[in-house]
Amino acid sequence: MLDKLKELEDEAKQNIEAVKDLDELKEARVRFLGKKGELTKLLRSLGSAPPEDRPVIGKKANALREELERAIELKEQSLRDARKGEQWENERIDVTLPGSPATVGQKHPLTLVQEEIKEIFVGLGFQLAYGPEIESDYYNFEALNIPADHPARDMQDSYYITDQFLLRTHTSPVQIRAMEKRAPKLPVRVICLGKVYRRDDDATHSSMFHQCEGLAVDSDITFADLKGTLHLFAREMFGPGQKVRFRPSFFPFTEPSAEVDISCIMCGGSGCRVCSNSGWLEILGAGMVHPRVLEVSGYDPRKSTGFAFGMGIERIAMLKYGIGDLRLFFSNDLRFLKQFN
Amino acid sequence: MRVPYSWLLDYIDPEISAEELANLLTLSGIEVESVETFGPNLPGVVVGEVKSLEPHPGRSNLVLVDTDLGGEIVRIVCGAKNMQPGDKVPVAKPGSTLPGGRRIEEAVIYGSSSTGMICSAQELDLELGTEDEILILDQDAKTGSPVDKVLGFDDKVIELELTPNRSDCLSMIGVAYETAALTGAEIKMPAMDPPETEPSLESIFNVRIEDPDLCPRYTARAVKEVEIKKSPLWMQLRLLKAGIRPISNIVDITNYVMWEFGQPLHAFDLKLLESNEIVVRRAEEEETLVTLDGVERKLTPEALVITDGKTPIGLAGVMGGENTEISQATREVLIEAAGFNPTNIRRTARRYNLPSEASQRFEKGVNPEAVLWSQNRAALLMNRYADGKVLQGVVDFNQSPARPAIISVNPERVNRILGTEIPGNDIRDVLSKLGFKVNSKTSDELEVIVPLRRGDVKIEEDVVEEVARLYGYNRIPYTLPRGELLENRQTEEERLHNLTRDIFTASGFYEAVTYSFINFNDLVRLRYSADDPKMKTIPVQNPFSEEQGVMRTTILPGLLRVIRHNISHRELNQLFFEVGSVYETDNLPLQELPRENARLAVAATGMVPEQNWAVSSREADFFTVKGVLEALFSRLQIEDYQFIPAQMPFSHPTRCAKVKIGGSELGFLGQIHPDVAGDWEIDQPVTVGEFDLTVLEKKANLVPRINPLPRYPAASRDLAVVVPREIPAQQLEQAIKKAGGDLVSEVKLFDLYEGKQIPKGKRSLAYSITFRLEQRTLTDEEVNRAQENIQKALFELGAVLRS
Repeated sequence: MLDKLKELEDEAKQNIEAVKDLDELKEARVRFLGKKGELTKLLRSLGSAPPEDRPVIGKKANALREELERAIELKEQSLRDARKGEQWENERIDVTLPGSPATVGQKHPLTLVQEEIKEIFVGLGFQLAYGPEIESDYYNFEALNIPADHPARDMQDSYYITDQFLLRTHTSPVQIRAMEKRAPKLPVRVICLGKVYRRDDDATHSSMFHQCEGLAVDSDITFADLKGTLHLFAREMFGPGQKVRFRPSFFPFTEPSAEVDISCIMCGGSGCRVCSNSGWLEILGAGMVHPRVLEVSGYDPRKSTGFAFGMGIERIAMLKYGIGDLRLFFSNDLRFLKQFN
Repeated sequence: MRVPYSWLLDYIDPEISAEELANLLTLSGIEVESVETFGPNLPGVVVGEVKSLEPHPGRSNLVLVDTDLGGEIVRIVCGAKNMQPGDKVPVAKPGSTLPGGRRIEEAVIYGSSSTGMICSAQELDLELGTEDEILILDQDAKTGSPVDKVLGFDDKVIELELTPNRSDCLSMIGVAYETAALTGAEIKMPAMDPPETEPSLESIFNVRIEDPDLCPRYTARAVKEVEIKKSPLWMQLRLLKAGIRPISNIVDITNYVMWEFGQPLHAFDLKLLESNEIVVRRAEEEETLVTLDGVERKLTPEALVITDGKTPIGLAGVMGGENTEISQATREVLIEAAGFNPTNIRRTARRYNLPSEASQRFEKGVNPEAVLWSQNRAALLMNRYADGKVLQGVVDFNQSPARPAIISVNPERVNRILGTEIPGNDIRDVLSKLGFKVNSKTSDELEVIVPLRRGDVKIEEDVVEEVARLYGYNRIPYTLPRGELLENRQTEEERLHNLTRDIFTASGFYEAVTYSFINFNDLVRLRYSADDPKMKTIPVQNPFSEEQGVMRTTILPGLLRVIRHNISHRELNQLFFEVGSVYETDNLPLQELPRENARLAVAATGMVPEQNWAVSSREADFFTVKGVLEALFSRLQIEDYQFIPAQMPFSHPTRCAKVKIGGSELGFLGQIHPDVAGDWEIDQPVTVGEFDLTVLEKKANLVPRINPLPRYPAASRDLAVVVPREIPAQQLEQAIKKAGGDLVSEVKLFDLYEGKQIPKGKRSLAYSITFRLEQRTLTDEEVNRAQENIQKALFELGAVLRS
C-alpha cells in the first residue's frame, strides 16, 4: 500500500510538472485529486490494509493530497503569470515614437514682451492709458514742446494724413492725454503701449514699430525716482544682475533728459559686437517732464513734478530673445514664430 | 561732428587720452559715436628729400629722382613732375605695402632701376590732389622719418552724435569748453588779431539789411591782394580729419574757422560784386540764382538772399552763388559772418533740399559771440596763408545785440527735482566750471548768467540738467515713487483681447502683427466695389510707396500677405489670427480723429493638425475657425449667436456666413473664392474671418457665472434622421430643443453622413440628446414621450428615421 502511494506521488508530481496549460492542469487535478481520482481510489482501498498500518497510510495520503494541492496551485500561478507576460508583450508600445501633435499656437513675440512690460509696471502701480494712433499735430508735437520748425522734428520723420493729423511718431502724446484727463488731481501714474510710425525703412528701422511710454506726476517725483523705477524695470525684464547707466540727453518734452543703457545682455559688459564693445546697450529715453508740458496739461510746475520714459518694444524683444533682424517681427514667418513655442 | 583730437589740443590739453575724453563726454551727454584712428599704418613709407631730377633716358614722361631717405640716397623712376629739388616727399621703400594692398618692389622701368616709389596723396589713401600729383610734405618733415607719423595718421578722431540742443558743440571751441568743464583744464583761444591796412572797409563798402527779422546780424570784412593756392598741408589734413574736402586756401580757411567756432562763413569774390554794397532781402518772385553746386534755383519771397544790390549772390545761410565764387583768379575777398533766423534757414534748406554744414548750424543756433571772432580769425589766416591785406575794421549790422540769459536758481529746488542733497556750494562750483556766472541773490536763490554760446539753457530746469550732468547722473540715488495707490486693473477691452489671444493660441493659431497701412489695390484685389465703406480709406500723405498708401480698413490684406509669404517658404499649414485696429472715417479729407476700432482677423489654410502617424488630419476650413469662435463664445457665455449664409465680395459663393450676436453684426467667416485666392498667388483653400471686437465686448461676460452641479441623473438617447440637404442643421437643433422642452439639457450632433445608403439630396444626422430635470429624476415614460415629440417635430421638417 505504501509502495502504491509512493508510486502515485511520483507519477502525480511528474504529471503536474509536465502540464502545459490551465486545461491540462485541470485534468491533472481531476485525475489525481478528484472525487474519483486516483488518490481517492487509493484511500478507498485502505480497508484492505492491515489495521495497524492504516493510520500511517491515512496520514501519508492526506499529506500527499496537501502537497499535490500546493503543487497544482503553484503551477497554476506560474501558468497564469506566463499568460500575462505574453499579453504584456503583445501590448508593448514604442515609447520612442513621436507624440501625437498638440495643436498649440503662440502669441506674437511683441505681444509677449508687451504683456511682460505691463505686468512689471502694473505691479508698480501704473495704470494703463490709451491714445489714438492717428493723432493731431497738437498732441504729437505742440503740446510736447515741439513747435513747428523745431529742429527736434528732424529726429522723427512723420507720416502725415493732413496738415493737422499724422500717424503718431511716439507714444508720448498719451502723456498729455492722460494728464488732461486727470488734472488737477495727483498722482498720475500711467503706461501706454502701442504702435508708432516713422518714415524710416531699412534693416534697423521699421516704418511701424511699438513703444511703451511711462509717466508719473506727483507733488514730489524726483529724478532719483525715475532712476529707481527704470533700474527695477531693467532687472525684472532682463535679470537680477542688470546694471543700468544714465546718460544726459535731449528731448524737447523732458528736462533734465536722459538716455538709459543696460549692461550688455550678450557679454555682460565686457564688450562684444552687439554692444559695439562698449559693454552697454541703449534701451530707452527718459527725463523729468518739462515744465511747459506740465503746464499745457493742466498742472502747475511749481507744485508738481514728474518723470516720463519711452522705450522701443522691438528693441527690448530683440535683446531679450536674441533676435538679430528687426524685419522678422513683421514678416510673421512661421519659422520664426514657432520658435516661441 | 568730427573732432580730430590733435586739433582739439590746440585749445585745451586735458592730459588724458582721446578714448578717456570720449568716455567723459558720453557720460556728460555729448554722445560719442566712435573714436577712430585717422589713417593706416604705413611701415616702410618714409620722408624723402628730392636731391635732383633728371629726364628718363628712354621715356619723356618719366623722370629719375635721386632721393635722400636719411642717410641713403636712392634713385627712383617717377611719372609725376610736380616736385623740385629740396621738396620733401613720401617714399615707399621696396618691401613696403601701400593702402589697398599694392606691394612696392625694386624694379627696372624702361631700362632704369627704381628703388621704391614716390607717392601721391591718393596712393596713401588721402583724398588730396590728383592721382599723378606727388604729395609735397611740409619742409620741416624730417628726412627718413615715417610718413604716417608726419601726416598724423595715428591721430584719433572723436565723432560726436549731438542732440539738437547742443549745437554749441558743433565747434572745436565748444567741445573745448565742455572738456574744460569735465577736466578742469584751461582754454587757450586761438589768435584772432589780423594786421590791418588802410582804408577802413566801412569807408568804401556798405551793408544794408532789408529784413532784419530774418537777418538780425550781418558782418563783413575784406581782404585784398590774396593769392589763391593750396592751404598748408596741416590745414588740409585737419579738414580731411573733420570730414571736409580741402579746395583752396580761402575756401579752406572759411571752413576751418567754421569748425573752430561753429560760425558759418562765406567768402565772395569781391571784384565780382556789381556794387560796393551788400543788400540782404527776401528774394523776388521769379528771381533765380545758380548756387555753388551748379544748379539754377527758382527763388520765392520765402527765401532770404544776399545780393550785391542788384542780383542775388547767395542763398542766405544755405549756399553761395556761382556768380561770386572764389576762383583761381580771385584777388579780393569779402568775408561774410552773419546771424540768420533759424526757422527760415531750415525751411529754405528743406525746400531746396540743400542741407549743409552751414544751414545745419544756423538752424540750431550759433554763438553770437563767435561772429566777430570768426571774422577776425579768418582774416588773420587769410593774411597768413593767402598773403592777403586785411582792410581795417568790420562792417557790422547788429539789430539787437545778444544778451545772456539770467536765470534764478533755487538750490533746494534743484535737489528736490533730482532727489539729491547736493550742497549749494557744489552747485555753484559745477556751474562755474561750465563758464556760467553765479551770483547769490538771497541765501536760497542763485542768479545764474548763462554764456551766450549756451543758447539752449533758458529756464531753471535747464540749469538743473547742467548741474545733474556734471555732478554725474550715475551719482544720483535710486528711489521709487511713493504716494497714493491707484486702481490699475486692465480695462475690459484689454482683458477681452487677452482672452481672445489665449483661446486662439490654445487652439493652435499663431498671432500675426501686420502693418497698419495697406496698398489700396489690395482692396480692389479683394473685389470690394468702389462704393463699399471699406474703400473709404484714409490716405497717407507721404508714403514711401503704394504698399503703405492708405490706412487699413480691414486686416485681411495683411493676413493674406502673411499666408502667401509662408507658403513661399513651404509652410503650407497655417493658422493665423491678428488683433488690431482698423481706421475708419465718414469724412475725407480728415476733419477730426477717425475711428480706431479693434478687430479680430483670422486666416486658416492647409492641414490641421499637420500630417502625422498618430491622429488623422483634415483640411483647415470654415469649421476649424468656427469651432474656435464657438469656444470663445462659450468662454464669454454668449449663446445667442448665429451663422447666417452670406456672401462677401471675395468669398466662395456657398461657403461664407455672417456672424451675428443677438441683433448685432459681429463679422463674417468664409472661404476665399478660388479666383481671388489666385489673384493673391495663393493656390490652396484659405478660410478667413474678421470680427468687430467692440461688438463682442458689449456682449461678453468676462467673468463666467457658475451653475450648481446636477443632483439628478440624466437620460441619454441617440437619434439618427435622414433629412433633405437644404434643411440647415441649426433648424433641426432648434426643433429638437423646442419639442423636447425643459427636459432637453443638451443636444450634440455626433455624426453627419452623405453618400451611399442615403438617397441623393439628403443627409443623415445623428444626435445624442441628454434629458435632465433639475428637481427630480425623469421616468422612462417621460423620456420616451419627449423623444416621440422630438421625432414628430423632425418628421414635420421632412425627416425620416434612419433605419
